[in-house]
Amino acid sequence: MSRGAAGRLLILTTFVLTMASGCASPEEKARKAAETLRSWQATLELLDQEAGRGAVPAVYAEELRSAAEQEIGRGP
Amino acid sequence: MSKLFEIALGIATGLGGFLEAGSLATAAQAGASFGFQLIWAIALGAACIAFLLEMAGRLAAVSRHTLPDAMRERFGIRFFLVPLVTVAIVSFLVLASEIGGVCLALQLVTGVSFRWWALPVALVLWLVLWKGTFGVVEKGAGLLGLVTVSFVVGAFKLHPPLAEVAHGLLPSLPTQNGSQYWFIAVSIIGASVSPYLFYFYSAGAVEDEWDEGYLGINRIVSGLGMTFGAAVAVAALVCAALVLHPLGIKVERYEQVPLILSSPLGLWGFRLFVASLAIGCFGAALEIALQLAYLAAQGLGWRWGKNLKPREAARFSLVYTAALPLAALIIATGMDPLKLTIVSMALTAVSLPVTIVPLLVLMNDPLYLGDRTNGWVSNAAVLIISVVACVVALVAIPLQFLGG
Repeated sequence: MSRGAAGRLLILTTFVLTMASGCASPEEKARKAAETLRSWQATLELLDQEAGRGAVPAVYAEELRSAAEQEIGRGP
Repeated sequence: MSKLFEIALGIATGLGGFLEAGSLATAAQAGASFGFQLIWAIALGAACIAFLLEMAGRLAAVSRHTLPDAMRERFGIRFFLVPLVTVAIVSFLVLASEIGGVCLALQLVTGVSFRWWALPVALVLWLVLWKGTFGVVEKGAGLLGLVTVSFVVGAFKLHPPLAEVAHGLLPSLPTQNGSQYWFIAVSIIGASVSPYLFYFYSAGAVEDEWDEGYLGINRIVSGLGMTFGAAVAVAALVCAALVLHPLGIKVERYEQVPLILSSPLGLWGFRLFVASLAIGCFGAALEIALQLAYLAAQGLGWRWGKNLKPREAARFSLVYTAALPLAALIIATGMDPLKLTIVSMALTAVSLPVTIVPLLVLMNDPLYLGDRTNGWVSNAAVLIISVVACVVALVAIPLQFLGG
């Protein structure tokens, strides 16, 4: 296979795979949104546990809570 | 300086300098999302960068040429502009990521948003480069970076299942989220094989006036330094795999990552995490800013040298003086440092053949290396890893973004 043909094949493969994935379906979006929500809920639970035993400073705990609120509020 | 001391110092700086914004973020994401499954990517990246560092050091010791200098001479300026521009763009993005890492560390302890720290951090970096010697930049940051060994302590305190960790060294196919798996895998390889590392290493070897007597030291330092450095990155992945993965926590913000060390080590773990992030990223930012200056000066034939006074190498000094505030501006605009880091690492993986293939051609040219040219093992290993990482990145990046 020539270099040009190999290059075209690579571009075509990338294009086809990209198009095949397309934009995520509504079900896929809902699944990812639920996954993100669970992940942030678990983060907050772990943070509460760590803050409770004094393993993280209050400033950091506040920052992480604020980050969680932003990410949860942002949605899918 | 005795050779034994040089070897120890080289290994210590390799170890201390391995973990930075990219390797830490990708290791944490990999461990949180896929447990121990992506340890192989760190091992592969470390093997590739060890080969590349050894080659860059050997080229400098035998031919007394830095990489850009030899590339320009061997291929001509028109061809050389392609790797020059590619490495400059990728390094610039990585520089912004590292500045972002330092700023995030400051945000974690002060609560003041990372974007406000960007320009002050750039100013401190510039002052260190303006006033410091090459030794300060190369060895100082690397030795301070030994604080990252705290990830190894954290990993051991979590009592990892060693058989499962060892199993992660073998590449395996993902059972779910395939595009994310491959995207993180290539980002890990991109973080490990950042071109700035071997360009900086070759400039350092010439600055330190290496000759053929250093070839043994070069081999040991590049091999062991990267092996120990990779062990620290694996430890960070193990911490994330044991703390975040069982709870279903995905790393979407840098603010989540300190939990991987506060869980096993308590408040000291948090402090050590912040110190590791700040020092690792600060050291990497120094090296990248300097490497950008080396790249431009060596490639375009300007006077260069970190041990020269800035006025004696004005254009060389101007490059890092301009690069630092420009990179800091990206962070000051509020761009998410984690996303910037991950994308920079994936783009680095895409660019690998452009930066590595010319090096391989040089390393097989007896005009530069005499009878010290590459063997087939190092040629094959580096070529296969870089081409495969590039192809996988070309497929995984669009899938990751368009797939949501």
